Amino acid sequence: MGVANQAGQMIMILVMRYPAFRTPARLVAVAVAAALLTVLAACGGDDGGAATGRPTVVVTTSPLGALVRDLVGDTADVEVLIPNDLDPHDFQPSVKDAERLARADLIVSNGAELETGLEGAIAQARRDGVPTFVMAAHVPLRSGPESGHDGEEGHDGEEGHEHGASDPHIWLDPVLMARGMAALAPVIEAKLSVDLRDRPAQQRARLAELNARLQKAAAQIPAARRKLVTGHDSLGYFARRYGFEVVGAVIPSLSSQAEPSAAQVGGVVATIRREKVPAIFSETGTPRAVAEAISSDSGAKVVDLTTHSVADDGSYYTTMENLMTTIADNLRDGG
Amino acid sequence: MTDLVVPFLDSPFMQRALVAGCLVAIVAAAIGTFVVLRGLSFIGDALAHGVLPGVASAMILGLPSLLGAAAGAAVMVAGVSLVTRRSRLSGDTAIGLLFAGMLALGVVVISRSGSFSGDLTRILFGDVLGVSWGDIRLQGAVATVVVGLTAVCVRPFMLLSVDPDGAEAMGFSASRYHALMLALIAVTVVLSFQSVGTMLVFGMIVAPAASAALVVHRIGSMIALAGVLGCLSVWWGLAASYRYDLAAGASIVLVQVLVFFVILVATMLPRRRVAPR
Ligand SMILES: [Zn+2]
Repeated sequence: MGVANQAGQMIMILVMRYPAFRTPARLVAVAVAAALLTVLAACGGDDGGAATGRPTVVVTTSPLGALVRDLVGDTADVEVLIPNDLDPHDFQPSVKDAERLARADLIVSNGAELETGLEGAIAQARRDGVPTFVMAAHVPLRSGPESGHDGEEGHDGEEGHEHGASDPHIWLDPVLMARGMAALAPVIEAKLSVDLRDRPAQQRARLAELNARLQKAAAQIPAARRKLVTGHDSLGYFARRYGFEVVGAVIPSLSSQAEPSAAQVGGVVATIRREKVPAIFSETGTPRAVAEAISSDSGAKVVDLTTHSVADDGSYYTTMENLMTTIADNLRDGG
Repeated sequence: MTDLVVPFLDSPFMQRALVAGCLVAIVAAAIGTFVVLRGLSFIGDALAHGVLPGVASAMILGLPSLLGAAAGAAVMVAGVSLVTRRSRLSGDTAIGLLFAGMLALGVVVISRSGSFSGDLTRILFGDVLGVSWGDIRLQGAVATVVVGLTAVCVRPFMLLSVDPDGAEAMGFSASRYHALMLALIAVTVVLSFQSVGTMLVFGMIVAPAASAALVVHRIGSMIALAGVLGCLSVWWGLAASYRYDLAAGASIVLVQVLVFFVILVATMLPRRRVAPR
C-alpha cells in the first residue's frame, strides 16, 4: 500500500533527523506507531464489488445514478460516487474514489462545473483510457444570471448563446433527462458490450409520464403564486419546464459555495416582501443561518427541499414527485 | 454618506449584523491589544483554526457549535503545552503541528458529513448576515465576562507584556496569567467565529489592535482606540458589502486591514519630512 510505505519513509526520516528518536525505547515506540499506521492503511483497502463479473458504471451524482440504474438493469453494476446527502458542488474525492474512477468501465458525470472537485480525478481516468460520458454535453444548457441584479426580464428562452456560466442542474428537468439518457444508451451498449433491449424505450416512456404528472401538479398552483426562492440558483430548468419564476435565492449563484453579500440578502428580503413569496426552499449547502435571517426579516418560512440527492427509496421518479409536492404544498396555501 | 446609513435603517438583518460585529470588535480590542503587545499572534491564529474540527463535530452531532468550538480550543491549548513540555521541540513547532493537524481533522470530518448540517465554507467564512438576536444575547453575555476579566487583570497582563520577570518579582505568577490569557483568546475566537468564520476571526483580533498600537502607547488608550476602529470597520465593511455587493465577513476584515495600512502610511509621512534636515 502506497500510504503505508510513505508513512514508513516519513518515520525513517524522522529517526535520522532528530537525535531524540534514536534511543532504543523511542525506536520501539516509533516501530509500534509505524505498525499501527500500516494496519490502519490496510483496513481501508478492502476492495468492494468487482466480484460479479459484470461491467461497472461509475456515476458521479445520485440523481443520475438512479436513472442509469434503471437503464442498465442487471446488465451492469452501477456505483454512485458522491454519497447521497453530500453537496456535489463541494465534494472532494478520496484516494479510494479516484481508484473507483480509474477501475470503472464507464464514467457518467453531470458536468457543466457541478462536480468541480472531481474534475481532476475524472480527467486522469480518461487519460488512462476509461470511457467517459458527460451528460451536460448532450442537452441544451441555460446560462445563469450574470450578476443577480437584472431580475425583471427573465432571461430564459434563448438557449445556447453563452454569456455567464452554464447552469449544471439539468437533472431537475425530466425532459432534458430523457434526451440525455437517450444519448447515453447507445454509449453504454457500445462501451460495455451489453444489450439494453427495450429498457431505453421504457425509460423514455416513464420519464414522459413523470413529466405529464408534474405538469398537472404544477397547474394546480395559481400562476401568480408560482414564484420560487431557493437556496442557490438550482431550479432554473425546473422553473422553465413547469411555469415557475425563480425570483431570488439565498445565494444567487449557480453553486452553493459562493459567499452571500449584504446587498444580495437585502435584495432577497425585499423581493420576498414585494412578491409575497410564502416559502424559502433551503437546499444542500444552503447557509442555514442566513436562510433563517431572511425568513425572520421577510416573514417567509424556511422549507427543506431535496434538489441534489434522491429520495430514500433511491428512485428518481419519487424524488421529482416529492420535489413538486413540497413546492406545491408550500406555495398553494401561502401568500 | 447615505450609503453608510440607509442600508441599516429598514433592514433588521443589517442591524443584527452590526450589533454582533461591534460586540466582536469590542472583545477583540481588549484581547487583541495584549496579543499584539506580547507577540501571541501565532498561537492565536492556531486557536482560530483549531476550533474547526470541534465545530464540525458539534454540527454533525447536533450540539451547539459554540460548545464544539470550545472543545476544539481546549484540545489545541492542551496539545501545544503537552508537546512543548514533553519534547525538545520549540513552541512554534508545537503550534504549527497542532494547527495543521486540527485543520486537517476538521476538513476530514466535514468532507464526509451531510451538508444540510453545514459545510466548510460557512465555518471558514462565517455567517455574519445570519446572526439572530438569540445569538447576540449569548455573545453579549460572553463579551461582558471577557471584558470584565480583562479589566480586572489589566495590571498583571500589562506587566506580563512589558516585563515578565518584573511581574514575577511583584508576585504575579507569569505562567498562570499566561494560561488565562490563552483561555481568553480562545473564548474570543469561539465568540467571534460565528460572525466572521475561523479564517477571518484572527483579523478581527489583530488588525484593530495593531492599528491602535501605531498611534497610541498607553494600554488603556490602545484598547479604546482598537475598539473604536474595530466598530467603525464593522460598520464600513457591512455598508461596503451592501453598496458593492461583496462577501460580508471578508469585507469587514478587509476594511480593518486597510485601516491599518492607511494609519501606517499616515504615521510614516511626518517622519519622512523630518529626516532630510
Ligand atoms: Zn446546485
